Amino acid sequence: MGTEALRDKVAIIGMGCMRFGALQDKSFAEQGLEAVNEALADAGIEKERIEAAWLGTFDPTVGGSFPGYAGDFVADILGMPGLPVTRVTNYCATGMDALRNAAIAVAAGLYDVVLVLGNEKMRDVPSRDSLIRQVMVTGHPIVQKGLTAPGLFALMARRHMEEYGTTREDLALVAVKNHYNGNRHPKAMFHKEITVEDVLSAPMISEPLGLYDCTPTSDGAAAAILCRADLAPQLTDEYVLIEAIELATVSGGRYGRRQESLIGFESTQIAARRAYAAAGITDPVSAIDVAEVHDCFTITEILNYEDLGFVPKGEGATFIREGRSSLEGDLPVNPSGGLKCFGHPIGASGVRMTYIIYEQLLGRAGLTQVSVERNGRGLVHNLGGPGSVCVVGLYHLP
Amino acid sequence: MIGIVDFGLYIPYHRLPREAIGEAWRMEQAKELLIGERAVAGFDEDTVTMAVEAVLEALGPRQEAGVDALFFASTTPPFGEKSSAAVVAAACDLPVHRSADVTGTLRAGTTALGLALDAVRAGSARRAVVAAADMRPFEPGTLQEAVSGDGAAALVIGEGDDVVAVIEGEVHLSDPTVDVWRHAERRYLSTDDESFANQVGYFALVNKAVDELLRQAGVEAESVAGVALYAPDGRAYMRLARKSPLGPALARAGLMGPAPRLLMAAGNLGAAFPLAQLALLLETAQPDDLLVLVGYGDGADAYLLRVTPATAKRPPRRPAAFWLETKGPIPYTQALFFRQHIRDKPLFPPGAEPWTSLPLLYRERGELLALRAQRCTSCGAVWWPHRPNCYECGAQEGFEFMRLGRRGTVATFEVEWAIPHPAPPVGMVTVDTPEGTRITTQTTDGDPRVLAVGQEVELAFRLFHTAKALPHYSWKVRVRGEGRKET
Repeated sequence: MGTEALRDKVAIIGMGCMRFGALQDKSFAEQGLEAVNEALADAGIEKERIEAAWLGTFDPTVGGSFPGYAGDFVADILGMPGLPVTRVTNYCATGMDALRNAAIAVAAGLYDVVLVLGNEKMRDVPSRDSLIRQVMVTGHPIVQKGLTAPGLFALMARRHMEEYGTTREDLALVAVKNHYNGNRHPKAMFHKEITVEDVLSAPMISEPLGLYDCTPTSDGAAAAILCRADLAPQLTDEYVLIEAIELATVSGGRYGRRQESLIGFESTQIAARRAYAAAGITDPVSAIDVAEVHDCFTITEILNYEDLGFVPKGEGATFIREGRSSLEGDLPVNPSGGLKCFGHPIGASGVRMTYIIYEQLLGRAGLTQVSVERNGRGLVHNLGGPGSVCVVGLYHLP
Repeated sequence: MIGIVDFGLYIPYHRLPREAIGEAWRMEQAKELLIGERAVAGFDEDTVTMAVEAVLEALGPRQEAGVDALFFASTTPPFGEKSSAAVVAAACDLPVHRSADVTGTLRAGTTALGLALDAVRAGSARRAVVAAADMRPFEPGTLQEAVSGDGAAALVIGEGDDVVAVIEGEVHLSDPTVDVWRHAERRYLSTDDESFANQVGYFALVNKAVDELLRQAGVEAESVAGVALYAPDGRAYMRLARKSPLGPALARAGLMGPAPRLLMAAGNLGAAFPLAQLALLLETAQPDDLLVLVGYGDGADAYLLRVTPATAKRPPRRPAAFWLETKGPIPYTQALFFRQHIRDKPLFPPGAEPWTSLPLLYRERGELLALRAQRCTSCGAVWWPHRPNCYECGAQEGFEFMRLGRRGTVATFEVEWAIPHPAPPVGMVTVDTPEGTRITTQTTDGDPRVLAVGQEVELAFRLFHTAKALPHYSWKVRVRGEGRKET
């Protein structure tokens, strides 16, 4: 069995994604149900067609919510006693890994139609209380105490700047581009264009990363209905196929002295290599029409350009400087505005990113629509932990 | 030849101008004492961490040096119950059999020295470390708060060719006279009539001990080259100098004497004060110099020391002046906050107490306390913290454990502004050690923005936080003295 075992065996026939944000008037359950209902409506099927489900949620206790600890939450909101539901958690790559596990089950022939739900509630507490204070409270009592998520990426930003001359202005260009795109996407949390000056003058969070270099914490949910590819035409007119979906994990300990671990993510490199091999891709920039990548911080998007092979290591900044990742560029990246404008409700993000590529491939992306004429293919990249978990997915039109 | 083999001093980075205390409390009296600076331990320091700093200075490049006993001396141990000496020994990776805390008296430092000497004389210890550290708990707004200071000193006691100062006499007095005291249930020290305490306590007992010391040894006071002498403050020191047989020696040293130097730069270091002075004296002493060391409190301890030619062979290291001269100003409000004098404002916000586990701390004591890394004997890769396998070659056995030298270079760093922290901004630094491992940890003592990729830094043993009412200690990166723009 190789990476091609999954290729084109599973279709995405419906997707739902709520408008992300600080959703104070919606519970974790209400968020989940809203996304699932939208996905069912999109697929045009009744919920009874769902034979199994995968729930991606990282930490329901961030928001103080108890539901979401286990799969029973999905059976509960759907009112479907007996539904087999697995909860997946794999750092910030939780959403895509839930989708990957669901796809594997369909490809294996266990089920015809399954549901994937990515759901996270983070704003029941102030944003500083969620992930940042968590760093002080949870985790190892001493080792790397105080190293926040932005801090982790700031360490890499500093090193990338030192080795390759990447500047804070380069990082700011990523935020400016993503805010431009996000302002055009109806489901983004932020609808506001910003300038390089805005980014540079924002308060510092984890120096050299400032406020506008960071994804906000937000609430959100997204859902997908997957089915056997050969059944898809019977159920719907418009769908996309999963061409590849590859997970790679590496040591999360920042162990050892390998310099590359400070300037890139081996997990991304391995997952991308496998996905490209499965799809027969040798030159990703020409073979992919649109990409939604994990821009938890501006530096991450620049590292992603390199680790996904869009440019050689060290040249990530040129990809943004030359406008190649803009809506008009030769490989638009994060046409939605990315995590920068949607926020990053952890378990929801991977499924939400898949939703963005799904709507792009089906020509439903409105003001953010880019041309997918060339290949009819999009990429999703979901990165987790200290860069130690990565899922790369490739989707294309049938 | 039994005596002092080595010595070390530690003074915290933060300095509070005494003038600021005087202004804050409108102190109109004793303004002649409100000069110089008070050393203030960081929020992440206590007498255990300061003792570790002083011991590591005293051990210098020797590292372990055959030490098998450690005596900790302080009036302010962090624990009401639990041996501070055992923690200090573990953090210094010293294989000691005996450890004891000498506490509850101002003369704890010189008394611990006596116990260490006796242990070596009796053969129950080969080499003993005396680690004295103090943070005198005087009430804010008092003159004593202003003149005291935080700091530590350590001595290595042993027998052999490398003894730099031989003990040629000692006198110990025990006396119940009440000078300064603290009821077990009180937070601050109590004092009464200062002139009474000095008259029947300090002056009387110190002079008695010194007279007896010189008489027993048959030494003329004029032949004393240097004096390390506890003094409550500069005024009492000057008065004693006028009445003491040591007067001429103290007068010769003048303001460059160890007591005036420390009082101006740091303050009265409590139980560590006489030993800290001795460390300064020994650094510049010449062979055959006669030195007198006097501790005071509930009696007195006096020692006569003769410097040996081995003093010239002491392994080189940074001078004690490093600790006196590298410093940063601290606002009085922050100094009060660090010591938790601001009511209802804890160091970390409520609800931010870190998760902890005593079994985990036990399992990881080798790396967290003793700073030992794990080396794979198959491929040579070095890991900190320890792990069940070698991530480079896959070996699951054949590991050696070694104490890391505390220095390394900055691989990268960032500055955290968003996390709750008592002394923002805190940096997180990834340090590459020459042994071949990589440690990412917090910064301490100074603004991390002065750091640069590639520069050399040192690890310092510090308090991370308190959880389950237990201080959590491990290693941070010291910014002090390292930066490009250090002020």
